[in-house]
Amino acid sequence: MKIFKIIIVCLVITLCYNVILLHIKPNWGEPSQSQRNLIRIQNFYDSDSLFQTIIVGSSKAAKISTPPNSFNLSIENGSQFTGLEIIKRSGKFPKVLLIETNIIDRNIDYDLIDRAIYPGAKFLRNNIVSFKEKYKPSLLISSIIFYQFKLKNILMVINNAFFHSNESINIKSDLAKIIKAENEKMNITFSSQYITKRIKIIEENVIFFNKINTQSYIFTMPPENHYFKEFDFFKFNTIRIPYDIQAYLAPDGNHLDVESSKKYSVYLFNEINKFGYK
Amino acid sequence: MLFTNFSFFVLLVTTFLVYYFFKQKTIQLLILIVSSFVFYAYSNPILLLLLMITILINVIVSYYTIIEFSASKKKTLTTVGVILNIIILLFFKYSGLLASVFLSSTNNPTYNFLVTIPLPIGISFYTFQGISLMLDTYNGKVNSYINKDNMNLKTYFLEVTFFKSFFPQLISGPIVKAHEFLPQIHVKYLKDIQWENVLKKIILGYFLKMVVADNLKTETFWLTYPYFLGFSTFELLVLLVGYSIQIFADFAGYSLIALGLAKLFGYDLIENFNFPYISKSFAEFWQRWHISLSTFLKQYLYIPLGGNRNGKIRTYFNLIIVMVIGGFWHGATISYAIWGLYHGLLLAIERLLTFNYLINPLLLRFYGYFKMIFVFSVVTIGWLLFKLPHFDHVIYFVKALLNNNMSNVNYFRITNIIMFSSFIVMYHLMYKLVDKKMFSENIRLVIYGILLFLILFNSESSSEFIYFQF
Repeated sequence: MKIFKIIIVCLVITLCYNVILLHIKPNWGEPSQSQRNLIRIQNFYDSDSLFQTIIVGSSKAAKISTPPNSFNLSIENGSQFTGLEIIKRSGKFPKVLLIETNIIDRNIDYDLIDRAIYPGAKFLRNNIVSFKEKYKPSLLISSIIFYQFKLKNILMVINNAFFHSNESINIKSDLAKIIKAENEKMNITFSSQYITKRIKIIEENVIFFNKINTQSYIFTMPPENHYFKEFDFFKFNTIRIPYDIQAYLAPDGNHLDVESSKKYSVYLFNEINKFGYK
Repeated sequence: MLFTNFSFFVLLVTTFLVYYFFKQKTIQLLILIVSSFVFYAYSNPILLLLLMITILINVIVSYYTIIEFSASKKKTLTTVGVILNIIILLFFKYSGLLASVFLSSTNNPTYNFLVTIPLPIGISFYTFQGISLMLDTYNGKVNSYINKDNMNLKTYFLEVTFFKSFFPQLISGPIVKAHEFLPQIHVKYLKDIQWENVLKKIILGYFLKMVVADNLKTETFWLTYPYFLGFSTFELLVLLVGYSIQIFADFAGYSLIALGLAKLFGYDLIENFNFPYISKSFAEFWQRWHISLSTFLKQYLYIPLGGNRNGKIRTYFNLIIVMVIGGFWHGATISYAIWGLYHGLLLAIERLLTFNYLINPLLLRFYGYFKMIFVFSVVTIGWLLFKLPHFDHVIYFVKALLNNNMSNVNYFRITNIIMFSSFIVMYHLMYKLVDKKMFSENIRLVIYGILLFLILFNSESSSEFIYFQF
């Protein structure tokens, strides 16, 4: 009997929460990296739109801002392979597919995909909206604590009182150096056979998408310029790295800052337009 | 297979339905053994072979220890059994470390072979259970149960196989001792299930794992090298506290699910956690944290070494050596040994400095809270060695902690960590501060209803449990 009471309480809370979501538009908290990935996939999968252009890639491409009728399906701490798999599973094939190729060693994140795409997922999320990742109760609670209870102000006071010194510390550039060194170390550890094998998988995907009339292009995000020789070998449609690569700033050595991301987004879609797609 | 997978849910329901359909002990045991083997072999079937070999060794050696009358032969058999268990553990868990210490790495085929041996999941847990079986049979702790049933080798084989492989505790414990578990084996009936108890344990366990630990994991991910180098001192401290909470929620959650599932099939496992973060001393912490491991080490290592019976110096030595071995049990890296040494030294120093308090009771109460915070903080610093098993990364972390006095702080990340950690703080405070009678049954049911709601709608991706790697 007590078990049924627990279940009834749970059902009542679920009902109330969904009613609240339908009637108020609260501020939501900041999702974590994995939540952002899931929200992105759910938005893509649950949408009724067919997108003309889709970008797939890693966190490096995640900041690219897309024009209307386009979708950025880049996966943070993931790779293009996950994005490509999602497109295949959803059946929403675009006219133009942009594949970022900075990271080629990460496999498909099946766990992530399975959490977003399963039988009845779209129906479930559209009818019980609390199943949507962006409506997680914790995002609502954290927002209330953060804004209503002014936790941010308290945390700022603590930081300034105990941890923040006025000395200017250039830790970001130190970090950039270490990350760069780590990346170089990682690239050295990849054999040419391994790189070729991974690029071959991208090529197989491109052939698959070409067959269904999706034009695929590969591109690389600044500040890196890896693997271009290898990609040239496979004769991909390639969007070249911009000549003024030095003008794109990546404070952590890996990801472009907001301004550079905007600038690169413009460059990328201009290049695409040159191929005749709008 | 993970407790959080859909495939596990299917296995559990199927096993449950078939298990209670039959009313014979042997058939019930066979059903649970088959399910346990499926559970264990699901992701890597070859590992089942190793589990079966260790079961076979333990059955044969312990059985002949029981039926042997000569004390010296009993001792020899037990020694052989314990050594065989330790050799299996050493080979699969520590050969990589031993190879890198004693062998040259350049073009040495033995080295290349040893460093690539995979770590079978759960090996640390089931080999310790094997050692427990050996020592319990030698000490006559399980003989009465065996003699009572007039057991033959066939039945004994079945029951020990079940003891070693029972799926709720197979991969991450609690480490079950033979003398506690074997006497529980008899026919089980559906009407005997304490449903409320089972469900509460399972709901709380899944809540700790999928809501608290897994959500914290998405934030504490940034404690990975080299990412943490770019974080401010404030964030690094909060991330470390978040990891301390996460590791508790992850492991305590697993243990509670294991306890609930075992109860569902009529078996009681040892409680593995007893609100460890309210401890006022390091000795108390180890009586509340991973209880099955600490009682195992105390019973089978600390006491045989002499415990505290041979003078102060020897006691300190015993404490340190037991904790270093406990550290090494977690993993074959220097960081784990240092973590063990760290706790061993804390226990020894605490014992050295213990004195009677002759202060005002009110002050004593505040002093108690101060000690609680102190123990939590020192234990939390120690978890750094778990999160960053490469010791040079720990050094980098400390450097970042001392140098990154930046105003550039992600306050939302801190808010998230505080929010999920507060569940564990409340969990401990409710135990410590609130009279249990304050919560009527209805309030408790509402709390469990809320937990169930959060499991359904606020779970994060369930990766492996942290303790799977051990």
